[in-house]
Amino acid sequence: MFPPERIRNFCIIAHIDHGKSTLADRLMQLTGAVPAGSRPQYLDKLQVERERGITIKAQTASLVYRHADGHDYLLNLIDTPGHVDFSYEVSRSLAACQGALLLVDASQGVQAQTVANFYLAFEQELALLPLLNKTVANFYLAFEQELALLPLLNKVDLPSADPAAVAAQMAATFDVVPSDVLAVSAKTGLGLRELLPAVVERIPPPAGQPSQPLRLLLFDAFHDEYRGVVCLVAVVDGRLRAGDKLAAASSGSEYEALEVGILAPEPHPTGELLTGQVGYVIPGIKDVKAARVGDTWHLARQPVEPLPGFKPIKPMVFAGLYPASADDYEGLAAAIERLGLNDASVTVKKETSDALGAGFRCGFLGPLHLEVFLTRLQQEHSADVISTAPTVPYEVELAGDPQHQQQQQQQGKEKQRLVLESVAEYPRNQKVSAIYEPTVLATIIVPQQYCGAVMKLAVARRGTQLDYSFMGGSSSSSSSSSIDSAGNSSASAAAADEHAGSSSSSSTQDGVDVLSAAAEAADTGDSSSSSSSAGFLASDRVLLRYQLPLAELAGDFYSKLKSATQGYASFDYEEGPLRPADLTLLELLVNGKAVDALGRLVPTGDAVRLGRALTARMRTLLDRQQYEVVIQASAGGRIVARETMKALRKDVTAKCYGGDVSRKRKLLQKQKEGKKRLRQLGGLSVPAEVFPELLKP
Amino acid sequence: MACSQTASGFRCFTALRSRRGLTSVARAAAGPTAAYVHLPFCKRKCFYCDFPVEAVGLNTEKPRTQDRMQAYVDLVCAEVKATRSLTDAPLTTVSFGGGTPSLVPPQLLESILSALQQQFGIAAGAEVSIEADPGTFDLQRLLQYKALGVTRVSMGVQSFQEDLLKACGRSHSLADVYAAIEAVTATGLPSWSLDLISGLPGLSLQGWQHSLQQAVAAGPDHISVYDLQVEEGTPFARWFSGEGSPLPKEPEAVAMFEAASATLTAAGYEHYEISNYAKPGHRSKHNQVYWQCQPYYAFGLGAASYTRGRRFSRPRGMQEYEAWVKRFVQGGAGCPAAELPVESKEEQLLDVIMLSLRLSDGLALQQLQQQYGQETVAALLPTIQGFLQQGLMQVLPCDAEDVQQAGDAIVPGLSGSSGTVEVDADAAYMQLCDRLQRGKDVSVRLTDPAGFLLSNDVISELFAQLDSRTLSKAV
Repeated sequence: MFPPERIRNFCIIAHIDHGKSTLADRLMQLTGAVPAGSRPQYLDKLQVERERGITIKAQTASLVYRHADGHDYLLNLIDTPGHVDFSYEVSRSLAACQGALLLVDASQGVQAQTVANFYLAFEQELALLPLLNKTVANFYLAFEQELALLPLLNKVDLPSADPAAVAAQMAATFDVVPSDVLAVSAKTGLGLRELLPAVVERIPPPAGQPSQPLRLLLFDAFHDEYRGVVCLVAVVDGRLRAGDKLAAASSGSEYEALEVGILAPEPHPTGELLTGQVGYVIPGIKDVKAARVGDTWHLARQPVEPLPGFKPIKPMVFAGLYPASADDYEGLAAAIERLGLNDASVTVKKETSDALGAGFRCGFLGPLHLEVFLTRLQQEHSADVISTAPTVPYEVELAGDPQHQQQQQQQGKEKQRLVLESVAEYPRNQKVSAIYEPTVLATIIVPQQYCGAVMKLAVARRGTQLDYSFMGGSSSSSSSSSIDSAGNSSASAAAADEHAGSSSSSSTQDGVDVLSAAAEAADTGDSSSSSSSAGFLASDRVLLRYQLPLAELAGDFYSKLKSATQGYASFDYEEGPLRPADLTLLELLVNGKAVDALGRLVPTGDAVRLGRALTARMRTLLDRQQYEVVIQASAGGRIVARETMKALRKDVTAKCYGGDVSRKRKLLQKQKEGKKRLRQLGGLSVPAEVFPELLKP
Repeated sequence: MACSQTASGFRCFTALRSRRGLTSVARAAAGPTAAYVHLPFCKRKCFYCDFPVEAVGLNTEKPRTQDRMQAYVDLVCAEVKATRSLTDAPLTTVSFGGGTPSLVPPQLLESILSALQQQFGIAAGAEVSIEADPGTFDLQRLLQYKALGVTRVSMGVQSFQEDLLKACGRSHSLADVYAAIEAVTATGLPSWSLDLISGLPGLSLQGWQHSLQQAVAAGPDHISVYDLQVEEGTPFARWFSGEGSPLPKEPEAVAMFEAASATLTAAGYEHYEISNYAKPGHRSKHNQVYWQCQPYYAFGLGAASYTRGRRFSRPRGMQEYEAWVKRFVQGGAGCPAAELPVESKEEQLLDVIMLSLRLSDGLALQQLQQQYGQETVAALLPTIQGFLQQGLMQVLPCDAEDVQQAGDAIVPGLSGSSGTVEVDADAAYMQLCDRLQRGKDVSVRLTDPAGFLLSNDVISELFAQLDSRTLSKAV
């Protein structure tokens, strides 16, 4: 077995498509963990992960490497989820590491995702590489003793690669010394021989105490059909043996460690895991929700100080999921349950809608999590599902009757607030005095020439600018302007504060001015603010931070951002505070009756426009019915739009088919299939297929 | 019996009772006594046509064309002779369809008829019908057909407007139409039918009324009114798919359907199927074989047969059909598509619902209950009740004597003119349920014209009530 000093626990921090999985594949091949030429993206086990090139579940691989000093080292590679919605899982994975490979595509440069995970690494007090020691004084220094970061430039074999410029950009963004940056190509294997020695030499071993009582960090868990829940754990202190009785610090529940082993990368039982090791334990439980990511486990009746950073799951986006065909409720219920076995972060409640019948209200970590969950329902469980428009947990403050209110104030109580998981819960018979909506703090990194377009988009989505700073590129100068970082505790805002005052950008303390100036520049095609047109790396990149309503992300924000920036923007966010919002309940009425599944809260100023768009779209999407249908939109109880659909009067096949009965039957069966997928919206039959269209924001 | 539709619906039901006494399953299991023969030749292909046809040009007397027809008829005869007879009973209906069967010379028709006679026998008094287009026959040819045993001609007039005949690519003129009517009348056949097409591009309601009046004036025993369907792959589909199409809009198309129903019913024709009207005693026997789910042989290019519980369509390409016949003859099995699965009971149920509801005789619910179980009918009833209330369906008493005994001679759902449709509908529905409970015959039909006009919507809605669970219980 390996003593702690011969163990290195590290992860790879990278933007989605910068080659993280390929690098992981290469490292496994180099150390013989998997044979050369084994299937690509070895650690990405889900179909949706391979298709979209993202990692959703953390995976680990234990690699054995013989170093030049003649000793074997156990290198535990922890492959982390690659998307913003899963940043909590990322943070828990990072907590099991002492070092990180910071991987940046040499032709694309630093992306917001990388910056965000980098900040997470700091928050985890993850040991980054000592090279930070030599950098200029700024807030990062506070962490320098504990953090080890190994910067890597990937895809340096590509003709479009610009290693020098990207290294300079990394230097500006992360305060790394350009000469410490390793240039590799995961695809060709270039530079990888130097990487493993660097991992051993530049990342410190885990610092746990073998003599202390057992303390485990549970950083992921998944469900195995045959063995129940499999927990991925890092042994912080002590040792874990098969047969140990364990207890969870969060709940006190006790389990038995039925099997203990390492992932190499396939599960390989070892009977025990020593201090500093990363591996798996099978606790003999069925429900993955019992294994809470971030929890600390210890030996039963030997409690220890829990590791910091544990958070209960908090759903940020809700959606109603309904079977596309009304008689398939049982099928959907089974599919959601099976998928939930492997995704503890989804919350599920039964829900009934007048329009859609029986279904489920599910909570997700974010918009992408919802999308991935739906994709997995369809791909892995063949579920035919309708999702209502995603909604966020708005908080609604009720005015209440004056007497009652007075009483409350006398008793020092706050006003009553409702948290809406569904717009159907919006109070209709009570006066609402205020609505608060969840926000996110978004980081957008974009070449400067697209800055105006991004600002326009952010304003259109009710964003408030917090920060606007140059990240540098070929130029070594970095300038920044912090406009408002109140309520923002993240590292980047702190970094921006450090730079405030040395600003050389055109910004003022008034964000609106910056914004309109940049927007004007974009409008007129004025590229004077852009230092060069030779390529994005040659021009400065700008880091923008916004407070945006979470609800605005649940729609088409990503695709709009992509098209506004020709794909050059990178985007990430973290949870922000609630803020008051001027919102109105927009409802769709069919023959005078509100359709519960289609109601939503919209900005009051947009209600009329959105109402008209919704009724018009409804009209074009729907087949006519056997009776006249009046479609109306109501905003805050007032009718703002109306469309009338005339009754269908003719649907007859009066053709001579001769004896070809089966052809005619097939046509009617096809029509029947459409009918079976109709959902009743206030007595109006709506094909399931058009639902996603109706529900678009 | 307030309205004439009711009276005629009644009469025709009793005429059909003997056949309906058999269950549809028993009918399908009995051997076929009907045969369809496809004769695909046309002078030219009409712009709306998606049937398997072979255009041979305006001069059909060319030796090459005559040779093609001879070769094809030989092929069909070979198929007939290779087909095993499944019953001792002789054919009671033979139908020649196309294409334009009247392009085929009488001696070729004779060779097919004698092949059928030899293989299956043709009953005395059998209905032998042939489709004939104006401009392809004269009195002499019709007399030759008659001498061969043809009893019924179905004439594809389509329109009494010269410009519309041109617009849809017909090969005949209006003068040909009048000449053809004269010839067919002079032939003195037991029955003849005149076919019209509504919904043609540029057709106005006024023009349609004119065609209807001319059709009535021609005095046929039977009139078919087809509604133009723009089928994929036809010239019409290419020309008329976009905006600004000259095809009649929905309100006009509805008015045309209503006008046909009103005009022809008033002229003494019974609207006995969505697209068919007949003077009493002149319904098409052959087509009723299809609509009542009885079995039938079929021969020729693209022809669909229903034998031994299997629905099978022959290849639609001439070369593929030729190759198929060769294999069929060599195989010697005598029953086409024996390898296909038998039509399931579930498919039979859907066929019965679909075909019955296209008829004025409607869907016999009591029989349906006997064959497919109470669950099946119970699953349909709430939807049927809705259609009764909407005036798209009505209840038919199924047995005249029984009705008189029970004293419920008037079924309220039928007297739609009373103005209290909903009350009537509820009473009719209660009566329907009551009769089902007592095991008495009772049928529902689509109303004419409102129900017929929405038949696809209504039938597919009924299909949708039969989920897989109900169906599996029914089977």
